[in-house]
Amino acid sequence: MPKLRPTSLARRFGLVSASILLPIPLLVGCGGAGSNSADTGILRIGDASSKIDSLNPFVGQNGFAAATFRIVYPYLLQYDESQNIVGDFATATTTSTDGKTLTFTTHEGATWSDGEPLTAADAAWTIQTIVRLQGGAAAKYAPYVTNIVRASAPTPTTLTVTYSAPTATAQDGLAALPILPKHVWAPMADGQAEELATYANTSPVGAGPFTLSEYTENQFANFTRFEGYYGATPKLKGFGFQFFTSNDAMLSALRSNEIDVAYEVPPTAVSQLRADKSLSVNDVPGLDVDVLGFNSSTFRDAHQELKDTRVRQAIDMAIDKNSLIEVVADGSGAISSTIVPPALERWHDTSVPATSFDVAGANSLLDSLGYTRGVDGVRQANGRPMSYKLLFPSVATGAPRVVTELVKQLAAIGIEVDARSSDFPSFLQSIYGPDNRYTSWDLMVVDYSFGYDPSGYLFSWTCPQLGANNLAAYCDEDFDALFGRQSTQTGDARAETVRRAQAHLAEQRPVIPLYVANSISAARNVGNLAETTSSPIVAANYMSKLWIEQAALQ
Amino acid sequence: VSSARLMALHPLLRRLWASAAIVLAVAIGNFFLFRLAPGNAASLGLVPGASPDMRESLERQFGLDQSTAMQLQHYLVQLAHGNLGVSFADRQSVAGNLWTALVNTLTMVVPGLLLALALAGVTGVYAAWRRGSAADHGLRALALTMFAIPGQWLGMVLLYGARGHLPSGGISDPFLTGAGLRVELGDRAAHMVLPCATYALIVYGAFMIMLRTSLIETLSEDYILAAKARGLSNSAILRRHALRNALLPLVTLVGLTIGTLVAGVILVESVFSWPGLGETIYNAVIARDYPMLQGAFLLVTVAVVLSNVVVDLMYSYLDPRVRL
Repeated sequence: MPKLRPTSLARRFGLVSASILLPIPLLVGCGGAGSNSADTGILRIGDASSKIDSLNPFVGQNGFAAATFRIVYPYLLQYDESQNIVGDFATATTTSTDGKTLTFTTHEGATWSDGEPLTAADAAWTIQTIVRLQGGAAAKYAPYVTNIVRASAPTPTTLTVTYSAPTATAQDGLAALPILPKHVWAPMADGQAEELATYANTSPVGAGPFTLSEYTENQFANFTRFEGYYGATPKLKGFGFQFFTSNDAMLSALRSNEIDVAYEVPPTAVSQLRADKSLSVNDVPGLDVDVLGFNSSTFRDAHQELKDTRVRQAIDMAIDKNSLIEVVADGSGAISSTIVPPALERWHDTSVPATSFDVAGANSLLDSLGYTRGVDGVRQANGRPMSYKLLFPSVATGAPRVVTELVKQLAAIGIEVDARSSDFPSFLQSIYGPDNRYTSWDLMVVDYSFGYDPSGYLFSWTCPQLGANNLAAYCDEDFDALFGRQSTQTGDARAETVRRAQAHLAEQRPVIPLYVANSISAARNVGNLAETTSSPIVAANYMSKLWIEQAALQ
Repeated sequence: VSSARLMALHPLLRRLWASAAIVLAVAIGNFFLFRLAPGNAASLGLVPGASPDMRESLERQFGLDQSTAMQLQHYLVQLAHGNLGVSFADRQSVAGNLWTALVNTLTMVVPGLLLALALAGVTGVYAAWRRGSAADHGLRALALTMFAIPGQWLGMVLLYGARGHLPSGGISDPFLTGAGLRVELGDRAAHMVLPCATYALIVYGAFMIMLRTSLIETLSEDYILAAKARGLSNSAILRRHALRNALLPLVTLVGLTIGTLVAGVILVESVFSWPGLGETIYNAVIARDYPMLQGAFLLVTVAVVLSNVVVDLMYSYLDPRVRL
């Protein structure tokens, strides 16, 4: 082989490489450092966990779709950061003496972003339409219009909503309904109104503080200040959501000033972000509860022992929830003794004690029930090994580590678990099974979160929710009665019934709360972002007009 | 000339005919494959909390109430007319959605592939020519490392290494509006650097090792010795005699890489939030968006089949002894 000298061929390859590589740095040089919020007045929010699943308010259901609706559309009411319901499009609320009629005074002279007048008639039409279509295209909003008989607008600034009975969740429900422009949506609401469910709504006509100015599916959404907004003028010229597909990219973007706020930060990144003095981390108790559920279906014949509350208690005792929080969430979480998370201070029942971690006690309890271990260490119940099929969606908070830990911990009491992960749609199909009989599984792990009213956390386990929100197939008349009672009560009486409902579930254990994941976000220390994103319930910040009205970059 | 005779006359047409048959078979297979997954678009929360009536209504709209045979017939008839249908999820045309995703993927893959080929060309030739030298060992170790490194990990390392200097994710800065064409072009280019470099490094290792091995084998042939004896320059030996033969296995590898492009880029897309084909397919699976899935997998199938045909053609061009 001859000694090498750079051959003309190699030089040619070099030229080829250079010709490919050279234009990129030249172009990159033209690009500069990208956008800068201080210059543009645009607040840049990033997230890697969810996207806008639909811009149609009858369809979109994830966090960023909800945030978009909340900011683009008027709502009658909204929650403030202290979990109190305050006005949005409504400036005043009165309740009739029989508690069945709510009357709202709305902003005067408001307009939609297309220049048409926004009046109480739009609100009345929206509510009436949702009530009429709650079994069909508007099914998403059905829980929020419970007991509504009619809505009417006697004057352009007066809205009257009439209920069939006093309804505890009336204001909470109305705080969840966007008011839609009748002149845009009414033509689609005839008959079964299928078009309401399939309309893309890529250029929504709104009346909130910002309008959607640019949207690319799964990538970003930009919003521009709407000068005709009926409320306080926002300080920002605009803001935007950028959707990442990896947390690493999102956090890297935050640290290199490509975005100003990172939402849904993974707990493992908290210590690293805290070390960066240009950032503020908001790690606060959240509303997202991870639960272990037992199959309570009457159609499920196998493993009847799982319907015994003493077996459920033994399993509860065998789970080291502090360890779960450490291992799965790096310590960013809290134990909840009931299904209503402790962050809902007004409603969480503190008198229900958390089950202590006690493997020896759990083993003794199972021994006392006659469920002895076989030669393989797995207990036998009713002649069959206590070997259970556990389903969980791959997107559940803390999955799959939370399930791996559970499998290990339950093995210590002689319970074998066969855990199977799937995407969320497949998970739901497997849970319900054919004809919603819930027949093919024993245990499941899932997470859920609702708003600031406890009804969501309770109604998920009622009989009418079988085949829908009720994933454990739990159906109990006493619990349903408690749920029904609290929905017509107010004040302390309602709080007491809500506590009794929690205690009832804690005793029956159709689901065991494993832990409540903290809500974690991080913001650059610019303007008042650090201060305004430090709410005890961080979700409230991003979903509310109040926050976006206050946020400033200077 | 009848079409049968034309095909008998032209082997390329015969290959294309066989390719079309393969594409059709795979399209039919995919049609059934996606329907094996539990649930459909109407039952998976497209309308949250929809009543059974509403779900039936949606199924009618999507044509899911028809028998599978009818759905297949409709799909094939539409396909024959070049119509890939409308996405269940966003009600946009499948062809339009796929075109956007494909352009995004190609924007990353083509420069990445060219870069990898250029790097593999330079280092592969150098290492083969200096076989056994320290440079050869070093370059080979580098190539093997790149070959072995998980692409996602490599992407994350580059992401952290370039933090503050290059954009972290996305195809462009969504908040950079009205900055002028030059700045926006520069922004696009800046966003391309990390994904392209990651993709290039992922495929570079195999290209370099293949080229080096093939070139070493070729350089030991008698005709190379004869060329040297004729006093030809190193450059001429490499260019005219060695490289042309050594390129054959590399051409196959590049063809295979293009064919399996989606599997290769999905990890890179995931790290850099690049809205390409991989992400499009993932979203379609989650939504059970059959038209999108059918269209995307048809596209992938066509890419694999066509890349094989192109590889065969290039083989025939590079080595005239090879006939189609």
